[in-house]
Amino acid sequence: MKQQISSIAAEKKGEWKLFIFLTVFLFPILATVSVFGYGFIMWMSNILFGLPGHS
Amino acid sequence: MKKIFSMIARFWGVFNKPSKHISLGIVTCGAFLAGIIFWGGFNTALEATNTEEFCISCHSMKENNYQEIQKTIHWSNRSGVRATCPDCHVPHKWSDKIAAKARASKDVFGWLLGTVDTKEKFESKRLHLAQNEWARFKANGSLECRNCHDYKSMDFAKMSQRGAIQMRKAAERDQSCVDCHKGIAHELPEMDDSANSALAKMSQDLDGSSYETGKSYYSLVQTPLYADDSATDYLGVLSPATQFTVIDESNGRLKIELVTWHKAKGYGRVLYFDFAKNIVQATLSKEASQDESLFVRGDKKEDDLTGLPWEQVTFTLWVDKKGFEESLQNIWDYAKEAYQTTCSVCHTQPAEAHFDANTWVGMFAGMQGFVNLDGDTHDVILKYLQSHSSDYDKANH
Repeated sequence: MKQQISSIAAEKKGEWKLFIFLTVFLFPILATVSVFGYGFIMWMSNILFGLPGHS
Repeated sequence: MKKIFSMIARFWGVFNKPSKHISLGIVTCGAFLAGIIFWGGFNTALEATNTEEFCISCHSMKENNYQEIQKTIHWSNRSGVRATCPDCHVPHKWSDKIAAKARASKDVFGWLLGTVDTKEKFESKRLHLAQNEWARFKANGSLECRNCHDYKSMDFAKMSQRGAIQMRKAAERDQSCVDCHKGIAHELPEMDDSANSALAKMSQDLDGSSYETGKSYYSLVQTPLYADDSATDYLGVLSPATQFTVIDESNGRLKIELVTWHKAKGYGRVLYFDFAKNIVQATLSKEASQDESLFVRGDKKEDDLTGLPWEQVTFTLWVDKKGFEESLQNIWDYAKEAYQTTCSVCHTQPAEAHFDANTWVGMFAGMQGFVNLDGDTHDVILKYLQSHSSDYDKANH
């Protein structure tokens, strides 16, 4: 029983650790990188296909 | 190393399975809150790079553009409505804004490498930087100006007379503001004629050509004329797009023959293309125009319209052996394009054969104040118009 409880506690701890890692580090960094990646693609497409026109 | 691998493996095990201990509600709510915090933070940081304080944190911007704008109406005016750097220089549309931020990474390199960190370095790049912005404004029709200025909201009655006339026309065509209003906020770059003049470039490209005796060529730019191959006696200027025949070559110079007409009254310093035609081929000094050793007289005729006597004169002069055009059509092609771009900004341009050669002189002179042409292009456009005027183009009159 105690083994089960301590392993459950360890699992719970692991899940929380991962949750924090994902929400604070991984996804924010991925989001920032993809936004600037999007900007980079727009920049290159401006060079290839011309600057944005009158909208 | 092994520790990190095992950690990644463990995380992957948890990542790839449904949550065992944390409830769905907590996971979703926590992720939602984290997303809001992230997006808020991200945008705050992004908008911080869109402020004047951020822009002028670069020395080159603070010392140059920020100082220059303080002398303009976009800084201080009657109503106290001011423009800051991002109002004009950062697109408002999100997608274009992000593209601009990506493009600005190049500026970070510039800052790191000190590409424009001195006044001299900045001035050398000013034209390039200006042209980037002019291209952006041209492409989007000065969209950033329209964040504040709207043609529909303009009260033309409140403008100066000249201003109202021009602005009404611009409003009718929904024209891009920067077409005319370059230099409204910062100093204009020095338009270096030699680098910018397309005709000078054309001439440079033809430098080093060989010229056949007895063959005709055309000047591309205003060309100095000399008495002999030593070029010690400067006689005057050969206009662009003037035809001459090469008779000899010596000491890096060409001896040329110019068949022209001049007015037989006064000094006869200006040499024209043809009898009674105000199309300038060359202008000479008083001494040169009277120096009989330089020319041979031909026919004499009187112009009925003015009563002036005209005389055909064939001059023999020397020019530096530079770039001259074999084909007049190449020059006319350039002139035609320059005419179309320069002279259709404010109104539709008249057909070349709409006026005769002599009328074009007055028409052209009247328009000079509205455009910014280098001397050679100015001369070539006028000559192009005159050469395709109703005097020569009977079909299209």
